[in-house]
Amino acid sequence: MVHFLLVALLIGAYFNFIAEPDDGDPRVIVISEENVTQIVSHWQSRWRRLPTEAELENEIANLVQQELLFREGVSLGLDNDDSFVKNRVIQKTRYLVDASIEDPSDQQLEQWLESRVSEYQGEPAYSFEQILLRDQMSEAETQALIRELNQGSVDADSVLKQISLDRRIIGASKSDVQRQFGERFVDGLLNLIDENSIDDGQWTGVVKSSFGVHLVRNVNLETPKNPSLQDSELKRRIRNDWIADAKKRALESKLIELSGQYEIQIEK
Amino acid sequence: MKRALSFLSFLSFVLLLVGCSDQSKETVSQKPSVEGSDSSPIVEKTEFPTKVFWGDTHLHTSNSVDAFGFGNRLDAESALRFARGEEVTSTRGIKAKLSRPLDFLVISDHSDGLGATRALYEAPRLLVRDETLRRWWDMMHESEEGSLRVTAELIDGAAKRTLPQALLDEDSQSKRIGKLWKAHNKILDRYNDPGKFTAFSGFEYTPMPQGNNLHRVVMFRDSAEKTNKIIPFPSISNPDPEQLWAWMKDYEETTGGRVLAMPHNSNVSNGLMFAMTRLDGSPIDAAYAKTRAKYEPVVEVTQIKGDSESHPFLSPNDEFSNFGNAGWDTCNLSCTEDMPPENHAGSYAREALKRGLALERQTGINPYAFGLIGSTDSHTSLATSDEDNFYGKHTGNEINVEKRALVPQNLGTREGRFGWHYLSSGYAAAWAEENTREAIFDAFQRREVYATTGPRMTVRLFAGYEFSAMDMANMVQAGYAKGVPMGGELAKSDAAPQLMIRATMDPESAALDRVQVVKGWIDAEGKTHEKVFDVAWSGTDERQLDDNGKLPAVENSVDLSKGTWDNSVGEAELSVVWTDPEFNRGDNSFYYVRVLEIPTPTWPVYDALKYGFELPEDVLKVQQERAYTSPIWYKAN
Repeated sequence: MVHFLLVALLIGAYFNFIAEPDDGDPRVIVISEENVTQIVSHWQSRWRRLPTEAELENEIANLVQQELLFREGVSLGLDNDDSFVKNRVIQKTRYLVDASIEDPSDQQLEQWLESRVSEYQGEPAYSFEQILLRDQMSEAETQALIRELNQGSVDADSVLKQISLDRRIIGASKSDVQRQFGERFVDGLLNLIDENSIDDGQWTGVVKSSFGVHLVRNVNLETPKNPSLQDSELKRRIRNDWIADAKKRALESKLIELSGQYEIQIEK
Repeated sequence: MKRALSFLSFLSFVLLLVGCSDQSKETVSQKPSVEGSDSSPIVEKTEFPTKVFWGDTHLHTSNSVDAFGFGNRLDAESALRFARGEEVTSTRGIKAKLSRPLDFLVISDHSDGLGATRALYEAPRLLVRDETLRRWWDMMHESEEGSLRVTAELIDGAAKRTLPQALLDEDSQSKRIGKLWKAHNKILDRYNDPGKFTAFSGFEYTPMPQGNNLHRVVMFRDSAEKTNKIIPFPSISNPDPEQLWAWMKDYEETTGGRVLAMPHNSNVSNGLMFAMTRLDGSPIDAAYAKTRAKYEPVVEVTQIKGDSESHPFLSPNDEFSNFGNAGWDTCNLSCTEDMPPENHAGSYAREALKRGLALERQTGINPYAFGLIGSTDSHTSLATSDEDNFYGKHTGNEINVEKRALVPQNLGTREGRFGWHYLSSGYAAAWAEENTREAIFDAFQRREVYATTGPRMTVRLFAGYEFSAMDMANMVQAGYAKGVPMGGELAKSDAAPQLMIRATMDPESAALDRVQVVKGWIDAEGKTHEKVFDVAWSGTDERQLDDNGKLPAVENSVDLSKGTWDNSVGEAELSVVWTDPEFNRGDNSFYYVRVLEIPTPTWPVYDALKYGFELPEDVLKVQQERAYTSPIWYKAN
């Protein structure tokens, strides 16, 4: 009964408020037409029908009750030093900053890609043949062996150490080569070829790894085709990166702007 | 509005907000390039499992009650990014990166109170009504030490069953956890990248009657579509693992999904993990054995809280059986009970494999026919296992806590448990056709997996009756064509079983000392036995088996002043076709392989070098890291 009276009262108040628009006074609660439209559309999406008049009144009453408690709480300062409220407000402010960012145009994405081609370039594919030497030998002995191998006077099978490492690697990623041979081997291989492929069938070396000393030949690093926005998966990634970066910069510049508008005192 | 908001419903509101911020991350650059597992990109699949995939099946994030309490602020996304090889800033502010990416990860946060400490910490104090929770809130907000004490109280309370009612209320808990779990599974699906990186859904089920550890990691084969239909099974109200198996059965039947469980830290179970009876003391029967064998095909045998393969009390003739026992074999998980040596038989995997043979004789089914893996059980969200890059058990002892090796551990200080007793161990290796949830899960299910204490040595094991030395050149094809891989079973034969073994060193770690075969069997009288055979080793010119069949120790080349060693004292690869010289066709048996690296420094040595302090005498400074394969069983009947 009390509840009903309250509703009746509030509904009355509601129409009064409509008649007297909000002038910013915290003691004036306005439930606008927009609010009501929103309530109706929420109701519709939940119940798949329009609310009855009684239901609508009830919903509006709820809104007013919430507003009463909220405003009373704020006026009592209950929102002060509440980390939960603070975080929520911070989050909203950040959303505002984020919302200031417009969708990037294709031209902007193109520019972004052009300045960072290497980031979006796929990994090069490694191909080579390797043997692990069975015997320990001096630098001079190794070079002599390499000459003999390349002249055909010594057979590679007769000097290698049996091990389960792949002898021929075809089109493997760097991480796959590293996984099998170790980081030291990959570094050694890259040093050796100095960005030029060796494809003359001649053994060369040495490349060292934790397994021992390797000789290699036909080393080829195939660079993947240039990244392009035609690739829709890549375009999506670039767009994400662009937006993430724009958000970061927007926040940074907002903070710089704000810190100029406030006086900040740190008492240590 | 008339009803007051209950603490827990408020928490769910908090978590809802946390969920919102997680979603906003979707649009930033951390997003993996492949969406979910349903988009079916082209994944290279091989005819046989030719590649070994490395992973951690036991990792905690800030969603675990204790991990958050220990200070961990890294979420599941950080854990996934770190595991797949990206740089992540640790909670204590260090740029952390693995030396090499992992291929798969199971995030296994505790099901009990999933996300609860984080929710409590983030809740407004005003709304925390429960006295204990409010005291914890204050302690957590006061200091790091306070937060650590809360965590100790939580673990203790779980063991003694004295947790606040608000944490035990299943209805409100499951509502809160349900939301968190769905958001979590969404992240996993987003990071799961078939062919490149596998993100498994899972959780840890954590019963510990009287502080005796019965923990299991539960791992799903499925995506969110199925895993969202459940929430992680709590142990507080369901402390008997038989309840977990019933729940798993129900999950599989109602969703059509697949799930398995992996026991771990049997070393602090005080003999309960592999007991000769059911938990309630009644005898193990065929139904129990069948259910356990079905749902627990693999045991996590090595991790940060010690190694559970073997113990010198049980294996006095095995000079390497004490690895990772120190600090972990005197009292149980919470150190509320001492563990007398006569209980060890139920605590170590090798003995359990033998017990399995005995129980098989009694019931017709072997409940303990499990494969072996290692994992970290790290509570830092960082799946590290390298000695020189070890981020510790929890955030309280991360890599930049200078004297963490010497710090007494809150649980068990009285019994002499210190920081250095933590092992920088281990990882799980799976032989699979491709890097996908399906292929790797199936490798676990058929036990084609092995454990290492951290280094990534490649180990292959096949058993059969028709191998020749020539087959070594074409090992994989010959192995599958003429025999069974690790985890498999051999049928009865008159001929002695042959094991075809190859172990290749981790190119980023140390050379190999030796390969051993561990055999266990049951004789006609029903008595179980074990024997360790050295079958391949380095330096064969200088090292030979003595009259007792023992191989002299390999040279210790460790230079403690630099933290280095000399790989030339070991071998890059060891391989052998070995025939059991003591075969008895009537005895059910198992064989597994243990591979030892040459001696290398332990993680406290790297800490001492980095920060320039002396390690006390009793701190272990040199060890031989190792791999344990899953067994192959010979079935005489």
